[in-house]
Amino acid sequence: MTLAETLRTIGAEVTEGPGDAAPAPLTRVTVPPERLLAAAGALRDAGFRYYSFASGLDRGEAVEVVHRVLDLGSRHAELRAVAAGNRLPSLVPIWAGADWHEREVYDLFGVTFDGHPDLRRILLPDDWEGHPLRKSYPLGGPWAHRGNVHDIYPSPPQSASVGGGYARSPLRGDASPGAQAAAAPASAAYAVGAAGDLHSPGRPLVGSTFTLEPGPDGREEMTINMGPQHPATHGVLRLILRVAGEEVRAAQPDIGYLHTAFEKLAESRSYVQYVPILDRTDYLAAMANTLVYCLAVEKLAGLDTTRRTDYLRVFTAEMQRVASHLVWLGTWGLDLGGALGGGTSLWLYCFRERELVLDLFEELTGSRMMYHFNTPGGVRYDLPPGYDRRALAAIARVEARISEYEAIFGDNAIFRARTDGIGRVTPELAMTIGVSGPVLRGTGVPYDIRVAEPYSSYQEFGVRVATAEGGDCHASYQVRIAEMREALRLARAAIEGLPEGPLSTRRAHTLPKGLKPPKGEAYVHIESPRGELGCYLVSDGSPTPYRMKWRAPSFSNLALIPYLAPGHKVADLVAIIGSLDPVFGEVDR
Amino acid sequence: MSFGWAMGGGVTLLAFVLTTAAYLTWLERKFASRLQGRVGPNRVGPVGTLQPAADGLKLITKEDITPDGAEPIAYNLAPVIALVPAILVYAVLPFSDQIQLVDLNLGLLFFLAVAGLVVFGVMTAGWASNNKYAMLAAMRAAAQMIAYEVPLALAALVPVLLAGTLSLRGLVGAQADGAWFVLNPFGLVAFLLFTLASLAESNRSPFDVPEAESEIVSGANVEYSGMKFAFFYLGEYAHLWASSALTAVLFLGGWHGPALPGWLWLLLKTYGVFVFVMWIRWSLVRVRVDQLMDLNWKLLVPLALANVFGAALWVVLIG
Repeated sequence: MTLAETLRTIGAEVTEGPGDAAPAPLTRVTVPPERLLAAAGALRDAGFRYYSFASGLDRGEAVEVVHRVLDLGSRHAELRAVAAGNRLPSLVPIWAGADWHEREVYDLFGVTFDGHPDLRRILLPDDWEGHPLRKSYPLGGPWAHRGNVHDIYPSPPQSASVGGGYARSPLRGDASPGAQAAAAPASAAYAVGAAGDLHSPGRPLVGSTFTLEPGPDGREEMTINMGPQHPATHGVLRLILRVAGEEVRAAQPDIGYLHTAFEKLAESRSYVQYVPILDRTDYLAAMANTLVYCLAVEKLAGLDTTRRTDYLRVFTAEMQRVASHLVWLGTWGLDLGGALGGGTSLWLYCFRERELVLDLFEELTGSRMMYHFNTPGGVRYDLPPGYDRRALAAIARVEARISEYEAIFGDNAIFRARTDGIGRVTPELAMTIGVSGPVLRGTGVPYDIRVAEPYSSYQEFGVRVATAEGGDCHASYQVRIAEMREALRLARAAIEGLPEGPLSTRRAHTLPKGLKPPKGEAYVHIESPRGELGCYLVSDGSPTPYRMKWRAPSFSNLALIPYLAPGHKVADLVAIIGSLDPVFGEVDR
Repeated sequence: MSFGWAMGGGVTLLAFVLTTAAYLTWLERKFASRLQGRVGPNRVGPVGTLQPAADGLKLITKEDITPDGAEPIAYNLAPVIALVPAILVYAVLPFSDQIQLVDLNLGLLFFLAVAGLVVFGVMTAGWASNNKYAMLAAMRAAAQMIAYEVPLALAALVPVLLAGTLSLRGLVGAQADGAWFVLNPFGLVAFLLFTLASLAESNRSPFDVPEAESEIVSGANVEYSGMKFAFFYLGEYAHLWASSALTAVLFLGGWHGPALPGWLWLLLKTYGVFVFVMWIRWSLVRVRVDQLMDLNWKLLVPLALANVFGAALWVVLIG
């Protein structure tokens, strides 16, 4: 029985065929809620083991939830169900990665997932009112219509479905009180200290606002709030840690501190107007962000691009990968070596080389970080005269320096001791969580979207996929170093083989401001420096997107931390965070 | 020794230590920036030489914070405990055969014992700050410094065996005419062990786990501000310079050397060791706290013990 037949016997509506993601065959499965789990199980058993993302889609009277899963070949499957009564079964038992994505849909659309182990808001504060991506949500925010929000859609009960059989870490259930205790002002304990009662038996540490509590195995543990202000959390990650001495027993990430409502903003801007906003999601890879969005718009609106544009997009995307990986390597050096040690040296070396790339981008676009280079149907700038010569010189310089980093850093015994065997990810875990990019390839899975589903003429370049074995921090280091070399090679090939011709098939390479793609939807994903960066666009035929879902690789990669942290030292946790290379502009969106 | 002589010498020495410690920060910043392809401080005074004064002024004018819930007495005492021993050890350092404040016949023992007190400052600070990161730092500092005292003392025993005295003057005297202890095979091993252990003793990268700011934010001094914060740094640099000088005294012949005056030789050797230590610091990443312990107990301590034994045999059979 084929997959489609199996799914039909389950009661699903199945359409197959060339999907909306260019060459990838798409299996679109629409099921009634009660059949969702069975259909998901059938998909997983048919090889769709990689969980990409979930997105809500406001259908007016109800929310439709779209799960996308991949088989890591070039097949996609889309599992859709309408949340009747705002409830759907959770897919966490099938793909563990659905955890954070369902929390996001719950947060932004208000769909309750039955059987979800830990259904809480994820991006917005716990006391937020309403679900902003619903079309009925007042644009001024809940405070603009205070009193009305609850009438429109009452919040589902917060903890009704919590507590499934999905025990992942000892933090489950007790994390929230622990978190509150850690975050709460120390007034009570301070009052004890002020009263002079420092030696009471319940307070083993004199003058302390924290207590040690016995852990599951009786060892004394304490709760530490690591972040959102912390030198090694790469922005605004907050980790709630349970530590026994130096050993991390459990870690729970708390994200959303940089939530910027990128997806909501898309719904009130025209397709072209929205592009520069996306520069700011993954602010270390702005070229990749605008590229994937423009590819999605082009798909949706049926725009074509010229070969020169495609080559320029490859060139900028690959140089962006180099710049991004240089930031990763440098900041990882800071994590491992500290701001007062050898790590700083590596960091400054990396930023020196990144400067060469940024200079090239600045010459091309006028900007060093937020380029607004890609636009639907083309790119906005052509190369200035003599640019190729300067680009090739910069590429050669960076290439030479990468070997130096390897010599002084990668081959160092202390560096090896700090990264070998630390944060080991298995391919199975990586896929079910939806981990992509260098971390996934570090587990030995050779999945690279540039090869699996080539876009922007990547098929002409013969991309060599870098993989490593072991899945530990050192494996992802090896992958990224190899990727920098490969990216430089691709950028050189793109600039040397740059075809002559116009930047756009239209006379002026600009688009009418009121671009109105026909009704429909498109999902395009590309290989950003951090992994599978996807853009799911839904058009209702109006000049603004009906829904724009941003599939951010850092978001899924970060969900690994609760699995990787237990058993490691605090210092290792810092190495693990760094090896995941999260950028919080896109995690929190 | 008259009271006046002691007071005058002490005040002079104190001024020397504090000035040196302040300027070591300038030297380190300049050195690190050259190593990293930067310029370093160059705004205050010629090539930034007034930077330490500006830093000091800034730190003095900073708000002095004592966190709620800290143990005030211990919290305020900790910076003093961290700084004073680091200065005290200078009393026994022989800068030349003329310049030394006191020549104790147990000079080396005094140096090691007093320098070992620095750990109490760090531990007190970490414990009294009422901060979880500082608490972790205190635990790390206690484990590390107590552990590395062992190979440090064992390595220092080798010159003692070779010279037959604990007086620092006597130790330098035994190295006259180029007979530096580092040239002895056991002395060489002891020299390397001593340098490594004193790196760890003074919390320098790659052994700076007690202040690992990427892990535990800044370690024991995370809650400190202003001059109290500065005390920790002055103490650290004073300690480091004293360790470098002791390395020169124990292994590199102290003030002995041709042509130049003795005190200049000692300064040159000390700064040579200091630059080496800085070079290590700005090149290597940090080891993990358990790896640090493994290195000490499983490698350095057995090696140091065997080395002392070997040196003793050497003295009996050859020396």
